[in-house]
Amino acid sequence: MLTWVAVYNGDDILPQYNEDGIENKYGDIDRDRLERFILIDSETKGVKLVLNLDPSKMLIYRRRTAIDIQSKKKEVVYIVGYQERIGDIARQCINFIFESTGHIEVTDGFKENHSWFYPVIFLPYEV
Amino acid sequence: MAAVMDVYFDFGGTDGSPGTEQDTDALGPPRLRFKTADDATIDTNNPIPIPAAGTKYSYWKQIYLYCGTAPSTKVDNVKLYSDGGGFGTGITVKVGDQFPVKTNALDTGYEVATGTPGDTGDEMVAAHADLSASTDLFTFTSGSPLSVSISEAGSIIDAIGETTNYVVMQMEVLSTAGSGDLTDETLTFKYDEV
Repeated sequence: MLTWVAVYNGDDILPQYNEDGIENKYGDIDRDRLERFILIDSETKGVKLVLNLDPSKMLIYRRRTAIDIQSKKKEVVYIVGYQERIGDIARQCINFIFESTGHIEVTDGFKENHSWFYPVIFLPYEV
Repeated sequence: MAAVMDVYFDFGGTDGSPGTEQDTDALGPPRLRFKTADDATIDTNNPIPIPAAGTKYSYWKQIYLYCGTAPSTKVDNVKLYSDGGGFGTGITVKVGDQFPVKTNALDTGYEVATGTPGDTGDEMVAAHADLSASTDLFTFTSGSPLSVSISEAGSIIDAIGETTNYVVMQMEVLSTAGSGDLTDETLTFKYDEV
């Protein structure tokens, strides 16, 4: 499983899980100070992805899960990226991290008819 | 902590009050069997007969996602899709275009599946009060899935026991179908979590 760490300018951080195991919420992230969003393998503690941000880039993050009803097999893809507005145009850069293989696919935005790259339902602070 | 979502289906009881909320994890593969009876048993009893003419139906099944472990913030954007294959000539599975209401507190969309055991279920669009149309389940694939609605507060799932609305499915058998046990088909639920 991957967990996230939000790194602020000034280098203080907000991890998804504190040392005492208490979970911080995605909505707790101070987006005005957010400098990097990092995904870490919870078992190896290795860094999987670092997303560099600035105040113009709105962080987008989800954990997308598929459950096969018959086999109960689960496949998980982590969605990490951003949206920024340049004039009237919204530009996106989205990374899709496939947990089963570890590989990452990058797109210039969500794709409506793709089996994994379809849009999320945005939260107010993501747009 | 990551949410744990399970696939359930309701059966028995009365309209608005299911007798059993069945966790499909407790059943062996294929977890769901279309039959001419309203139960969860994975067996060969109550098969759907092949008619000489016309259509025979399974009893409908009302399935949903159930939250066993809550997400940090929400689960939403729920999709359902098949592998696009199908069960062959003369056999169709239909899914209702509407999603009868099911929540942690309400089962108002639940309708007991009806029919004649061992012969046919009642056709679901005609007999289920909350359905007005249906679509071939196998037209929904990973690239074009069915979006499943949520009637919990905020249209999200964020607590143990919360659910999606019902997805109602039914098998239809024509005279052109072949007899025997059918090869399992794959159904997949997909959801987003944060």
